[in-house]
Parts: sequence; structure tokens; C-alpha cells
Amino acid sequence: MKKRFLTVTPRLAAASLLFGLSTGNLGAGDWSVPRVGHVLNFPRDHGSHPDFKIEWWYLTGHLFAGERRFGFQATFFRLGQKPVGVPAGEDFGTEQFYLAHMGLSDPATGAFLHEERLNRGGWDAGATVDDLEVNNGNWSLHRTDAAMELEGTIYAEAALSLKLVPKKGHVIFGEEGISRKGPEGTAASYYITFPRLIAEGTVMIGGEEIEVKGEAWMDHEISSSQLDRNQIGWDWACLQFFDGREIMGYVLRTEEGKPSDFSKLVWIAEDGELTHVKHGDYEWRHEGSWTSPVTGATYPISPLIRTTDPVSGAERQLRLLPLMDGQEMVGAAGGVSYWEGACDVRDEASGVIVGRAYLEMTGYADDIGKKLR
Amino acid sequence: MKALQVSRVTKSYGADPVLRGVSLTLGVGERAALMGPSGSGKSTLLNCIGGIDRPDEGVIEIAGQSLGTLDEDGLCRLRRETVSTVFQFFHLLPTLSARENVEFPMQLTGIAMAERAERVAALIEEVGLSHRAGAMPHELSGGEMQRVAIARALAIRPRLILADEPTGNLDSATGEAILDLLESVSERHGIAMLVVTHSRQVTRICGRTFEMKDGIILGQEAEG
Amino acid sequence: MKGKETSVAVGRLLWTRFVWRHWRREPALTLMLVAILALGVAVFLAVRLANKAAVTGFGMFTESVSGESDFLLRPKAGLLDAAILREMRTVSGHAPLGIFPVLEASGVFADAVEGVMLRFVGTDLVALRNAANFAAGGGKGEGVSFSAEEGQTSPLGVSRVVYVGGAFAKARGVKAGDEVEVIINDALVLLTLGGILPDDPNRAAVPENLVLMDLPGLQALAGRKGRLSRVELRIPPGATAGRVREEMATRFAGFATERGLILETPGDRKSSVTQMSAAFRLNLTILSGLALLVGIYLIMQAMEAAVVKRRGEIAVLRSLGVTPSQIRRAWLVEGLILGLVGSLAGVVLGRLLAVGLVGAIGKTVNTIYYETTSSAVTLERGELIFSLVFGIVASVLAGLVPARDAAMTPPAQAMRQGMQGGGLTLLRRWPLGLVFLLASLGCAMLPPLRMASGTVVPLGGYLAAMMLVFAASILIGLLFRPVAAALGKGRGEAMRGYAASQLRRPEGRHRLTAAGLAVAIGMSAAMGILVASFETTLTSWIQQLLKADLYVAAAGASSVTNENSLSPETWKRILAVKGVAGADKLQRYTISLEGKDVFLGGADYNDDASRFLQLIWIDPPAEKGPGALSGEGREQPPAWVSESFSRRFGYEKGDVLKVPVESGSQAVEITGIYAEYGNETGTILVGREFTSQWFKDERISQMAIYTAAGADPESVLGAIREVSAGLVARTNEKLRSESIRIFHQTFAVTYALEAIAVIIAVTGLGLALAGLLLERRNELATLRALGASRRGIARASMWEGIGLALAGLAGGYVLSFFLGWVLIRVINPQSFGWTLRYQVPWPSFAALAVITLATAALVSWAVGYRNANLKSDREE
Repeated sequence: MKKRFLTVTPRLAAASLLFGLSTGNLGAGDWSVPRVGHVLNFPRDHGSHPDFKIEWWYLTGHLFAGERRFGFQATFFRLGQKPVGVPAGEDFGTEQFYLAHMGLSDPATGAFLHEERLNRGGWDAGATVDDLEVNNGNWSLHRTDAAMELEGTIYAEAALSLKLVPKKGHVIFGEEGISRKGPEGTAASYYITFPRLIAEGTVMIGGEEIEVKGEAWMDHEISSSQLDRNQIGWDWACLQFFDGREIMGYVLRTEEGKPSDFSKLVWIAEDGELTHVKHGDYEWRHEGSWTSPVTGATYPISPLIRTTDPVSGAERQLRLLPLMDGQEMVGAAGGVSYWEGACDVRDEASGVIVGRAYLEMTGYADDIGKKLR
Repeated sequence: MKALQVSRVTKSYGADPVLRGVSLTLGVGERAALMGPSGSGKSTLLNCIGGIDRPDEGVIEIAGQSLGTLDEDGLCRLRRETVSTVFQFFHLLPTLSARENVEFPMQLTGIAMAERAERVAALIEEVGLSHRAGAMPHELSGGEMQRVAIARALAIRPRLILADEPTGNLDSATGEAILDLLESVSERHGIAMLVVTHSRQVTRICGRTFEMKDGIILGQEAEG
Repeated sequence: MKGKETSVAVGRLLWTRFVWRHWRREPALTLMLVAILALGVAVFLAVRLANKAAVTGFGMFTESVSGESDFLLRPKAGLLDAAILREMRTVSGHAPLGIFPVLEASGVFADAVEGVMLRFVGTDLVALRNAANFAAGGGKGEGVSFSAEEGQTSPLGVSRVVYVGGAFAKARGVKAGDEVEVIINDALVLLTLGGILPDDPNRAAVPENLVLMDLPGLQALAGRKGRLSRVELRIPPGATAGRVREEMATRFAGFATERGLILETPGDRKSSVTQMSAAFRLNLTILSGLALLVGIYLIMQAMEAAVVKRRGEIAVLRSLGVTPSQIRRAWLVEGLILGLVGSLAGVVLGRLLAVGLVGAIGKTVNTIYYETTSSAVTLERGELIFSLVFGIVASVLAGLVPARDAAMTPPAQAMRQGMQGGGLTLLRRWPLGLVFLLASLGCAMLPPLRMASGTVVPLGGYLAAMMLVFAASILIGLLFRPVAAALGKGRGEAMRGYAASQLRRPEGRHRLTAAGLAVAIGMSAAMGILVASFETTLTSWIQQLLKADLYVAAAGASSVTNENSLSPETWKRILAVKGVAGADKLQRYTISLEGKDVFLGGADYNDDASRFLQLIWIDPPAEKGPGALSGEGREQPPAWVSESFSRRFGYEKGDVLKVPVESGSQAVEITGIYAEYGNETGTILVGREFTSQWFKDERISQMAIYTAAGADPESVLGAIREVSAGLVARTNEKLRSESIRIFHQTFAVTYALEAIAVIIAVTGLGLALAGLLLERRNELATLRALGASRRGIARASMWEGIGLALAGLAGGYVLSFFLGWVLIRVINPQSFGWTLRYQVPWPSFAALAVITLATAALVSWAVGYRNANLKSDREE
């Protein structure tokens, strides 16, 4: 797909225009590609990698204030551009675009608040190279020695201000340091995750400021191509069990409707040790159904994951129960709509809630592959 | 030459015959009364004679001039020069003074100012209103208004005066005085008069009386 | 309770059995009544719409860069540095706030250097999208996507890709991908059309002259790298938006004060932009007032006619026991319904009329102020409703007096046979007219009202004008007698005498008609006086001002808001052209002084002392020779300010003034005050040596060139034109005739509107006569019985019409002299600060009189002829 998109919203007399997110198939040679055996170097690699085409810092989590609970998502994307004949400018750059999504689920009221933002790299958006510090308008995420700090708002309706302290250190998924998404060497990423962060801070919603505590998950993924050619989307989830362990798992869906062989599930032990489960050794059953009134897409919002517990050796059937159905992130600027929502995890054998999860489903509303390949 | 000659005049409004063959003549200076109940056709006959309405058939001649041969302008001229009308409700022009009302018809015929002034003074005097000459119509009593109307009717030195219930709106004493005035001007100037009236009192000054009923004069044959 | 029910029932009875039947029986008359109302409302609406369209043309774009911004931050003078954006984000902290930088520049089409001025707006085309999300309130994918062809240059960055509205594309016949040649400053630039901006049906259309670009691209193109004209701030919607707005207002107010910047809401901005067109708006205000008044007179007259006509019937109703208040109510309801129907028709008509007017007004506005396209008639729903309500309220109000009159009709038995008239008694009280006249004089003495926003409203002047109109409406009654006497003179012609006799005893209708005419004529003529005074003053000013042989300006510079200028290279090359002996140079900046926009001029009067005499001095400087503006031996640079500046800000000679410049502010001393009629915002003139320092700018916007002795100006002109494509060069005569042409064009629309007012007033006259004749139909029958011909009656009607027109004209002209005086001596100096010479345009007055009399005669004759044979009541 060699296309640029100019988006014009009739809601504005002076319409807004947009350079599409996909700058076309520039070829792997134009962008760096994750290398096998490359040793990541921290804190530098928490920072930005502008020589890669796609990068994101992706926070999801569950927050509690007494009886009340919230789910939140805060994502900072960096999208490299190689536009034709446009000199870069310091204030109004054209080589990096920064897309960001902020979402807040309030199951008590059923409200799912979200905002999308796109800025060019420059005076109002950017990411530093040497450590984690990204900003997009008034939203920001940056790392100090002990913690990360997140500031976000959703219009003037809601605000998030959180301090995030890792309960365990970060883990790196994939074999030999790279997480492969397809047979082509380019479809791979460096995948760095903080599987459990203790969150503390405030949620402001509808004019009310609420002190909250909870747990969060952060992915930092660096790539130049996230999907293989015949992949149309993915289902991804992170499960945080009350026993201190986590699961990160996903299925990559292909055009034929089958899961790709590069789908994966990983158990993270309390001490951070990883157990990789190959495709075929676990099952992701698409169950539950919710149709978005906005995009018309139908999402299987209550999947069942069958896998073997590496500690007990027993088979586990884990059901994700969304706190609410409508948690679809409708993207206008990015042109990508997806479902990203807070869930509880129920052990089907015992019927007991055993943890919390965040579920992500892409490629149901449109072919995300076109954007992220 | 007769002052007025009406021969077998008919007039219908739609299917309703109003005049069914009326004939009458008035000699010079002759006065006649036209009586009859409401709807007998008196007013229509008067309108036809005055040139305000046109008969369907028959001939009306005034001072030898046949009305049927006259166009609209000719009829205007006839009213300006030959026939005057005196009305029950006087119909003075409300914005003109008594003197101006009398003068007005003379202005229409283009009589020179000096002569007009002289004649207006004489006429006002004749109807006995010299002391009220400058008054506006609304300042005058009914009798006075009718005197002005008579003076106005005389202004053009007509051959024929048509009077439509000239005393109908006056008390009887005043009515008598007006009748005397009409009689005297008719005598003095030799003007024929056709007086439409309900009142027997009026016939006092008239030589003849025509009784009308259902569109014909009693004693005449209906046409058709 | 029961009484109330009965009352309602009676009301309904009166309505169905009488009012409605009257209408049905005389549809023509009812239609006329509705038509009068419709005309009044139509003119009112048309003028308002046209006015609004003109104003929208000015104010629109500030609104629409980011949708509707909450605040604007702009410099007092010059431009902002883009570095301020990062500081602003720091100031706003983590609060949700959209910050949208904007640079504006001007240019012209290469093939029409004196044509439409293009407004270039540069903003971050990517971030603009986020503003759209604000508007959507949830960032739903409602955008319309269209793809650009492969390999096309990015619209972002230092590109020459631009976006225009549909109106632009249509006017130029271009489509996406086409190229357009424009001149920005004095350089020829080739731009590529990246796409056409769609119009939003809910908002004003994208102006025809608007060109949207990515900010860095425009910065490069306009030679303004890293500079901004303003920054728009927008708070997204949400529960805390109010709180955030307050917080941001406080923070940025502090920031603005600290940096010497201006923080304002778009509303402020709009009103200050609007201020610039005050002269024009005043013009329109007067005209719409005129339409309004004439409309009210017409409605009153029509309602009064209806009352008089149905007097007998009302009297009978009264004798049957209908109460006065029931009668009054029935009349008010009638007025209301007529008002509703008439106003609806008027709104439709007015809308059509406005479309025509807007073209004319747009042109006018373009010529003098912005070379902009005033938007089509948009955002008008409010205006339509306003006019509708106005029409209804006016007809009910206009019906009040006749309704009272109707209610006061005595029962039939008390009424004298043939009693008529009564009607408006108010207009007969001529002492009241004198009271109004005195009150008007009093109001004229009042000082202007200075609003908190700094706008000066000549309230006393407006009040004085209004009082004058009232006084004239009443005092006009005194004219009937002399007019009647004049008409009745000679007493030769019976019908003329009869007509005169009608005027000797005028009815309410006569008075209203003459008053309506007098107001229409008076206001039109007063406008004429204003225009003539303006023209005389301006012409002599131009004569005196333009003494150089040739004039050169950057393309588009004839417009006040043009920001194009000549680069030093260009103007130095012009100076070097053979035959050029010397030149005066001027660079002009718009600065904000005490919250108001004014011009700061940097003048360079070369070296010839005699040229200083070219300015018309209101308060001359002690020193006028070379170096008078150089400030040698002075503490502060000397400055000459225009009269309008002096009046607007209240500064006098000798005062020291702090002028904001790009690098802070500078004190200057006022050493002289001169007359200037080119703008009403006011100008501060200092030596160019200072402005070039203060703004680090050697560019100039205009130069006046003196040719060497013996050089042929035409060939020098040709040589100058060779220097650059982006300049406009004219000879002295050409510039003079241009100036006069522009002036006439400016007021072209005035004449059209005046014509409409007079047409309406004469129509009113015709209708009034028709009503009068109808009322007098018994009299007409008498006239006919007395031998008056149809043409005779027509003649009587004509003379009556002429009499009314004469009274109206005489009254109108007297009114116009007073009104003109108020306009020129009170309202004008107070609102723009211009001293004008009072000049009465006698020839056009005479023409207006002749035209009015002729049309009045024609219309009245026709009305008389048409109604001469009306059947009287007494004929079966």
C-alpha cells in the first residue's frame, strides 16, 4: 500500500489535514531491524530508538479506591517518517510523528473515556534517546531512578496522575533478545516489559479527584515492522495473578483465519523467570461477542485461554471477563481502532477470580496490518 | 324642446327587471314629483337620468340631448353643465367651505374667477346663507347644508335639477323652507325639477306626480 | 373566570365574523397591507444581513483556525518567536490545553497584483487534527480521507503545498494538484494546490481568499522563519473545562503581562477588527435605522387606514355592547397576524435582497479595508428570527395607537353621520415636536460614551439623530397649511383646489405619510451630506497629499491590512533607476496600543524640506524641515500622530507616548498632529531610522518617487516596473483617480439603499392615497355627480400626492440639514476622529427632489385614476 492519507474533518471550517501514518514500503534497508543476540543496554534502551520505524510505550493497569475501580491505558507511539523533500525542523519536525492514546474505564458508570492525539516531533511532542522520557502535548511519561511518572488527561473530562514503581524488574521477551512476529526477519521487535508496577496517584473524573492505588503493566516495543504480510491482526493479553505470577500471551491472526505459528504465550514467575509456551501448546478460544456501535466491528471479548501451569503442571482454563463491554479505542488520526480493556481472570475449574488482565484485540475494525506491517 | 324626455326606459340588474318601460316628460321649468315605495325603481331611474347609470333600452333626452349618444366624457360634461343633483344627505365636499362647495362646479366648467366670485356671492345670498359662507360643512345644520347643496346645484345654471329626497333628512319646518327655496329657484331660473320623494308634502310644489311601482309608472304599460 | 371565557369568545367572534371577512372581502387591500409589512421587514433584514456578512468577512478567520479558540496570545507589535511555544506548554503544565501557533501573511495573485488580497494562514497541519477531536468531543473517525498521488511532495515542512476553500477553487478554476502563481512580498512564488478544504454546513464557508499552509512552509515563504503572528489556545470540552479555562486565563494573563503580550478572547479580537470598519458600519446602521423607521410608519399608516375604514362597523359593534378593550384586543390580534404573515414574506424577500446587497457591500469592504471576500449570507438563522420578531413587534406596536383609536370610537348612536377621521392625535401636538427638537440639541452636546473595551460610542449623537427624526415626524404637520396654500393658489383648477382643501385639513394618514417620506428623504439626504462632506474633504486632502510624480507599493498595498513589503534590495534598485531623483519611504506596522490596534509608520522623507508641507496640520510641529523626525537633540524620538489617533487616545502635542515595538517598548514625544482620512484606527509616524532599529526591518511598504528634471515619468515608471513583479507602480494622476474611484465604490451601496428607502416611501404614499380615496368614496360619487371626470379625479389625487411629497421633501430636507450636522459634527468626530467640511450636495438634492416629486405625481395619478370609479356606499 503506497498511500498517504490526508484527512479532512468537515467539523472544522479550516479543515485539519493529516499526513497518513504509513509512509509506504520503504524497505527494510531504510530502517533498522532488531538483531539476534543484540544486548539491550539500560536505561538507554528505555529511551527512544528513532532509527526504528515503530516504537511504543504502552501502559495498562487497574486502579482501586475503596469500592471503586478503574482500568486505564496510556500509550505513546512513535512513528518514523521518511517524507520526500521536506527538511526537518526543530519545532515542527516531519521525521517523527507521535501518536498517543489515553483511555479510562469506569465500570461503576459504564463510561469509557478516551482521547487520541497526533503530533509531529517538535516543540510539543518527542522522546529522548538516553532514557524514558516521552511527551505528547500535556501528556507525559518519564522515568526516574525509582519510578515512572505518568501524566495524562482525557479532554477536560478526566485526568490521570500516577507514580509507577516496578515490583519486579523488566523482562525481555523472545528468543535471543528478539520477539519474532513472522517468518520474515524484519517482522520482529525488541520487547521489553515491566510485568508488575505498583501504581499510586490520582484519577480525576467528572470533576471529582480520587486517590487510587493499583497495579499496572508496561510494554516497550521497538520494531520496524510488527506484522507479517498475511497477518491481519492480533489478540493480546497480560494476566496478573494474585499469586505474583503473570502471563503475556497473544495470537497473531492470518488472512486464512488461522493463528500464525508465531503466536506465543509466556509465563512469568514471581522471580521474573520466563517460561515460553509455543503455539500449539496453548489454546486461545475466541468467545463472547460485542459489536461496536461506532465501528461496527465485532470483538470476541471474553476469550478462554487453556495452558499448562509450569509450576503445578496442571492444565489451567483461564477465562477473561471484561469489566465492561464498550472499551473500544476509536482512532481517527491513526486510523486504527481496537479494543483495549480491563478484565478479571476466572479460573474455570474452581470458578474463582484469580487475577486481573488487560485484553487487546486489533484488526477487527480494519486491517491493522496495512498500518503496522 | 322639453327639459327632460324619458321614453320607454328599461333596466335590469341580472335577471331582476328594475325599470320595465318608463316614460315621462318635463317641460322647461316644470316640476314633478316621483313617488313610490322602496324598490320601485325611483333611484335607478334617477341614476339613469343623471348619467350615472345607463338604461338597457329606451331613450333619455335632456334639453334635447340624448344621453345614449354621449360617452363618459360627454356625460361628465352634461353633469357639469346641464343637470344638477340635490341629495338627501347633502353630500357637501367635507374639506371645502360652503362658499368653496358652491364655487367648485364652476371651477370644473372653467368659469373665470371674477365671474365665479360674483355668482357665488349671489347664489349664497339667494339661498340665504351670506352670514355662513365661510363655514365648513361640519359646522352647518342640516337645513343650512341643504341650502348650500341647492346653491351648488344652481351654480352651473342647470336646465334640470334632480332632487333625491331633498327633505328626507330634515325636520318638517326646515323641510318646508327647503321646498319653498326649491320652488322659488325653479320659478326664478326656469329650471325643471324631478323630485324623488316619499313625502306627500313635497307634491305641494310640483305640478304633476308620477307614482312608481314595480318598475313602471302607474297608468303606463310595462314593456315586453 | 366566566368573564374571561366570554371575552375570549367575543374575541374569536370578532375575529371570525369581522376581521377575517374584511380580509376575504378585500383581498387586494389585505395583500397590500401585508406587502407593506413585508417590504419594511425585508429592507431591515437585508441591511442587517449585508452588514453582518461584511462583519463576518472581517472576523471570521480568527475563529476558525482551531475551531473556536478560548484565548489568543499575540504580540503588541511585530511577531512572536516560535520558542515561546515551549514556554507556553511549561506555563500550562499538565492541564489539558491545545496550543495552536499561527502565522499570517498576505499576498496577491501574480496575474492580478491589484486584485484580491490573499490571506495566507500557516499553522501546524498535523496538530490541527487534534482540534478537530476537541470539536468531535470524542475523536471519532468522522474525517473524510482522500489520498494524494504516489510520490507527491509532502504538504508538511518547508513545502509550497497549500490548501484553499471551494470558493477559491471555483473562482480560479483550479483543482488539487494544480499550480498557482502568487506574489508574497515582492517575490514571485509557485504554489501547488494540495487539496480543497470542504465547507462545513454549520460554519462560515472557507473565505475565497484564504490560503492554508503548513506553518514552516509559510514561515519560509514569507521570510518569517521561526516567527508567529499569534498563538491560539483551546481548552478541550469536559467537566472541568470551566475550571481549566479560569486557571489558564490566570496563568496566561500573568505570562502575557510578563512578556508584554496581549491575551484576548477571539471575541475581543473580533470586536477590535470590527472597529476598523466602524465608518462603514455606521453607514449601515443609519441605513437600517432608516428602513426600520420607514417600515414602522408604513405599518402604522396601514393599520390606521384600516381603523378609519371600519369606523362605522366598530361604532355598530360598540352599540351592540362590545367593550373598548375587546375592540382593542381584536385590533392587536389583527396587527399580530398581519405582522406574522408580512414578516414571513418579508424575511423571504429580505433574504433575496441581501444576496444582491452583499455582493455590493462585499466589494465596498474589500476596496477600503480587507481585500477579502465577504462570506455569503451565512449564520443567518438568528438574524432571520430577529427580523421576524422585529416585524411582528413593530406591527403590533404600530397597531397600538390605531387600536386605541378604534377602541375610543363611540357607539353608533353617538356618532354623527359621516363622522370620520379622529386617528392619530399624537402627531398633531406640534409643541411636542419642539420638545424633541430641543432634546435633540441637548443630546448632541453629550460627550461620547467610552466603553470599557475602549470602543467609543457616540451615544449622544445617535440619540440626537433619533430625537430629530421624532421632531420632524411631528413638526411636518405644520407644513400642510403652507403647502395647501401654495397648491390652492390661483384657485383656477377645480381639482387642484379640491386637493389643497384635503391638505388644509390633514388626517392622521396624511401626517404619517408625509412623516414617512420626510424621514426617508431626510435620512437619505443626510447620508448624502455625509458622503459629500467626506468626498470634498478627502479630495482636497488627496490633492494636497499626492505631490510626488510616481508611487510605488508592494503588491496589494492599497489595502490597509496588507502586510506585503518591498525588500531593501528591491527598493534600492528602484532608487537606482535612471530618472529617479529621490523618494520618500514608508514602512507600516500594526501595533497594539492600550489594547487597540493602531498603525505605526516609519517615514523617511528623504531630504527635501518642501515635502513636509504635504501633510495637513491640525496642530503643526514647531519644526518641519529635514530632520524634523530625526530626533537629533531630543530625549525621545519625535512623532507625528494623526487626528484620529489623537482623538481616539486623547493624546495632545507635547505628550510622551510609550509605543510597543517588537523588542519591548519605546517612548516617543508627540510634536505634531496631522489630518489623515485613509484610516480611522490612527497612525503614529516616526522616522524610519527608528522603526528599522526597533523591528530590525529594512523593508518598506510604499515609496513616493520624484523624477529628475526632464525625465519622462512614464518611461521611468516602465523602468521601475522592470525591477520586480511584486510591486505596483502608478503615476500621480493614476493614483488620484484610483483613490477617488475607490471612494465612490465605497459608497455605491449607500446610493442603492437610499433608492430603496425612497421607493418604499413613495410606495407608502401610493398606498396611503389609495386608502384615502377608498375612505372618500362617497365624496368621489359626489364629485362624479358634479361632473368631475375620471381623469379629473386622478388629477385631484395627483395634486394631493404632490402636496404630500412637497411636505415630505421640505420636511425631509430641513431634517437632513440637522441630521447631517449631527453626523458630521457629532457622530463622525466621536467615532472616527475625522474633521470633515460640511458640504451639501445641492445638485443631487435637486435631483432627488425632482425624482421624488415625479414618482409621487405618477403614482398618485395612477392611484386616483384606478380608484375614481369606486362605488359609493349609497349606491345600491
